[in-house]
Amino acid sequence: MNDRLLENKLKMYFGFDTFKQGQKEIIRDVMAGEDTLGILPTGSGKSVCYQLPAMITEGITIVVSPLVSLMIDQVKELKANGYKQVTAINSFLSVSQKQQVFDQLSRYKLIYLSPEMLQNETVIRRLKMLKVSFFVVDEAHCISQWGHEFRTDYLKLSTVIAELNHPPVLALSGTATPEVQGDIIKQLGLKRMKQHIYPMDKENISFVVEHVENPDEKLRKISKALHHQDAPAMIYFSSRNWAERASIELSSKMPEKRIAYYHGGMEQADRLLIQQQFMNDQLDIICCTNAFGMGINKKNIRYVIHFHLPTQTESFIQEVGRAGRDGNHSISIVYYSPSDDYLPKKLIQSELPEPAHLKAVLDYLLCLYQANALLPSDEMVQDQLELSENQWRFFKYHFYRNGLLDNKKVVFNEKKWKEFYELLKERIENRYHYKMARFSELLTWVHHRNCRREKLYQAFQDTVKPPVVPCCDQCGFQLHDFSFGESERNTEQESWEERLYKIFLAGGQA
Amino acid sequence: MFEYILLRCINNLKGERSLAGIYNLLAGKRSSQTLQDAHAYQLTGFFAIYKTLDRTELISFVEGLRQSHKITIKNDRPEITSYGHEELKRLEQKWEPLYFAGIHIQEHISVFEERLFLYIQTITNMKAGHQSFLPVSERPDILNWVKSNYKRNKTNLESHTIDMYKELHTLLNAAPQEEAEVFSYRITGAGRIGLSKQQLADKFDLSVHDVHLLLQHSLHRFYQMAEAKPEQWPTLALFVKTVDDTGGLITNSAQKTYKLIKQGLDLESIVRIRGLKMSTIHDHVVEMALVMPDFPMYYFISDKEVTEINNTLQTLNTNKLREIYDALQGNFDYFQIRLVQANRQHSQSGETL
Repeated sequence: MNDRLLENKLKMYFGFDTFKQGQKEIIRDVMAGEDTLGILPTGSGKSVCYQLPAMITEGITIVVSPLVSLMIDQVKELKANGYKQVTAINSFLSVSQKQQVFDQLSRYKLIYLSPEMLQNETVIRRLKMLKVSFFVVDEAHCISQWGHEFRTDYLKLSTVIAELNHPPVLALSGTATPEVQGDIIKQLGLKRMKQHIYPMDKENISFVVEHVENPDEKLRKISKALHHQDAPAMIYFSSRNWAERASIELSSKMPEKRIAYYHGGMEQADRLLIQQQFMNDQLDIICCTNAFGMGINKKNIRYVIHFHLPTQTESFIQEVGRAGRDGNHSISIVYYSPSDDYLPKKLIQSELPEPAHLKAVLDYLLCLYQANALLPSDEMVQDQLELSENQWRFFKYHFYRNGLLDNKKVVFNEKKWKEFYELLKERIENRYHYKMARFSELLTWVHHRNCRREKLYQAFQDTVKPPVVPCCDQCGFQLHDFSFGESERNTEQESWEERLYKIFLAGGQA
Repeated sequence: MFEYILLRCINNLKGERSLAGIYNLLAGKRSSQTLQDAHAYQLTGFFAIYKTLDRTELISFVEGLRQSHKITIKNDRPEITSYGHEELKRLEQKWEPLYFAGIHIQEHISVFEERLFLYIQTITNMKAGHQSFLPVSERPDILNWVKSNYKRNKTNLESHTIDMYKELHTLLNAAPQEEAEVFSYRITGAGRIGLSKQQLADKFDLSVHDVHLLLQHSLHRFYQMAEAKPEQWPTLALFVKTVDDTGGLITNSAQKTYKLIKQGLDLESIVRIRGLKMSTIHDHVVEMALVMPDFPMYYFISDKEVTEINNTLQTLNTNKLREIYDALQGNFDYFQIRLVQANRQHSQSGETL
C-alpha cells in the first residue's frame, strides 16, 4: 500500500492528515509481514501503529496488554470515536459475558487480551479458528526482567505466537533501554525483527528539581508555583493518603483553584467523574497516585509535578511524558526532601516476596503433594498464603520453570527442592538489589549538577534534541519568575435548577 | 442525615444489638439475623442503603455521638440518652418523611442508578450534538441497556429530553434543597461532568456520609414513585420497568423459568425442577425472546447459527416452520428456529414503533 493511500486511511479512521514520527515506517513494515519492534515515546500515537493496520487488513489483530484499565481505556476511546469492531477479554468479564464475546469473535477486528487469558486453552483454540493478521505486544518492556514492569506471563508469549502459526508480530514500548530492547527480541524468540527506535526526549519540557526540607515546604512551594496562572497540573504521590491530604491543603492555600484527588481506592463512579472533569478542563490540579494517567489523553497538561519520586527512571520519564502533548511549553518539577528515600524502598519491598514467604509456599506445596492434590486457583492460593498477586505470580513462574510444578501437579524431589530454595532466595535478593540500584540511578539524577535533560535520557539514547523551551534549572531556567499567564475566570455559581436546565435544555452551552 | 439514621437505629434497637448489627443493616449483609432484626425493630427501610460504608468510619462517628452524650455504649451496645432522644426528635423534624425502602428495592437501586446517570449523559449529549463522549459507567450490561433504550427513543429525542427534565425537576423541587443540589450536581450531561461525592460534600458543606445518603434517598424516592405511578412518571418508569428485564410482559410461569435461567441452570435441569415438559419450557424461552429487549440469545444459540437461520428466513420469507426446517436441511431443531424467528419479530416491531 502506498503512502498516499495510507494517509487517506489515516484520515478516514482517525481524522489526522499526516502521520507522526515513526508511525508510517512501523506500519509499512508490519503490513509487509515483518516482525517489528517499535520504541516510541509516550504520547506519540503508538496505538495507531497497530490500530490502522488492523482496520484495513482482513482478519483479526490480537493485542496483548498488561493492564486491564489500559485495555478498557483503549476500547472505550475507539468506541467513543465510532469504531465498534473492538473488544477486550480479561478476567473482569463474567462467564456469560466472556461466552458472548467468544460466540461473536469473528465480528471483531481488534481483540485486546491480557497475557493471562492467552494461557487459557479455550481462548487459544478459539483464536486458532480465526485468521490472525497481526499479533501485537503492547508495553513490550514487561517481557524483560530488566524492564520496570516485569510480568512473568509475558515470557510465555513466544509459545503462543508459534501456536498461532506465527503471524507478523509488532512489539511496542514507550520506554526501553537498549538492554531491555535486546531482551524483548530474545524473549519473543524472533530472530529478524525490524527495529524502529525513536528518541524519547521531549523538546517542549523544562526540567526543575528543588531540594526542600520537608513535606510542608513542598506544599508551600507548589502553591507558590501554581498560583496566578492558568495551567493544568498533575501532582504525583506515592500514597493514597498523601494524595488526599495534599489536595485538601492545596485547596485551602489556593481557594480559587479547582483541585481534586484521584487514587485506586475510590469508588469507581467517582474515579470516572474526576478523570472526565480533568479531561474536560473542569479541574485545574489533580493530586494522584500512579493509578491515574494510564490511557489519559489530555493534551494541555502544563505541569507534571512529583511530590514523591517513582521507583525508577523509566516510570519517571513515562509520567513526565504526559505533559505537553499539544507540543506547547510544559514543565516537570520534582520536589525532593532527604526523607523521601523511605517510601520507594517500602514499595520495592512490597513488590517482592520475602524469604519467609518462600518457606511457607514450599511447605504448602509439600502438603499438596502429600495429599496428592492439585494446585487450586490463584486467588485461593494467594488468599491462603497471604501473598500479593505479583508475589504469587513470581513464585508460580519459577515453580513451573524449575519443574516443581507440572500441569498443576506437585513434583517432589528433596534434593532438587533444597537447591531450588537456595537459588530462589538468592534471586529474590538479587532482584531487590537490582531494583534499589535502579532507584539510586534516579536519585543520582536528582542530585546531578549538570544538564538534567542530557542526564535523564543518557541510558536510552546517545544525544538529545536541543529544546525549544528553557532546558532545565541547571541550564539557567528559573521557576520562581515563570508563569503561563492568567485570564479572568467566570466563577459565577449555578443554582441546582440552573444546572439541571442547562444540562437538559440549553444544548450544552456554558 | 447520617446522624439521624444512626440515632434512629440506636433508638429502635433499644440497646439490644451491637454496633456490628447496625453496620450489617446499613451495609446490607444478607444474613437471616440482619433481616430478622430489620423487621423486628422497624428498620427495614435502611437495609443496604450504605453498601460502601467503612467500618472504622462508622466506629469513629458513633464514638463522636458518645462524646457528645447523645448515646452511651455498654458492652459494645449503643443506647440512646434522653438528650440523644431530644436530638432525634429535632432531626426527625428536619428529615422526615424519608422514603427509604431498602429491604424491598435495594437490589434494584444500583442498576437503576447506573442506568439513569448514563442515560441522562447519553440523551443530553446526543441532543447537544456531541456524538462521542466517555461514558460515566463501564459495565457492559448497563451500556447495552442504555444503547438499546436510547435507540428506541431517539426519534423524538427533543420531547423525550424535555419530559425527563420535567419529571426530575418536579421531584427535586419537592425535595429538601440540599437533596436537589446534590442530585443536580451529580449528573453528567452536555458539557458538564458531575461531581464526586467528596466534591459534593465540599461544595455544599456536607459530610461525605450525608452526600451518599442524600443521593440514595433521591434514587429510592424516584424508583418508588415511578414504580407506583408509571403513568405519572413515564420516563423514569423506563428505568424501573425493565429492571428485572422481563418488564412483567411475560406470563407468570415464564417468569419463573426466566429466573432459573438467570441463575445459570440449563433447560434440562429446569424441566426437572419445575416438573414441566421440555416443550413448555421451550415455549417460555420463545416468549421471552419475543418481548424482552435484552434477551440473551447467546445462552441458547451462537451468533453464527443465528445468522445462518436468519439468512434462510429472509430468503424463504415464510413463517411455516416445516419449510424452514427443511431448507436448513435438518441442521437446526424447531426450537432454535422459533427462537430466531421470535427475536427477529421482536426487533422488527421495535423498528416500526
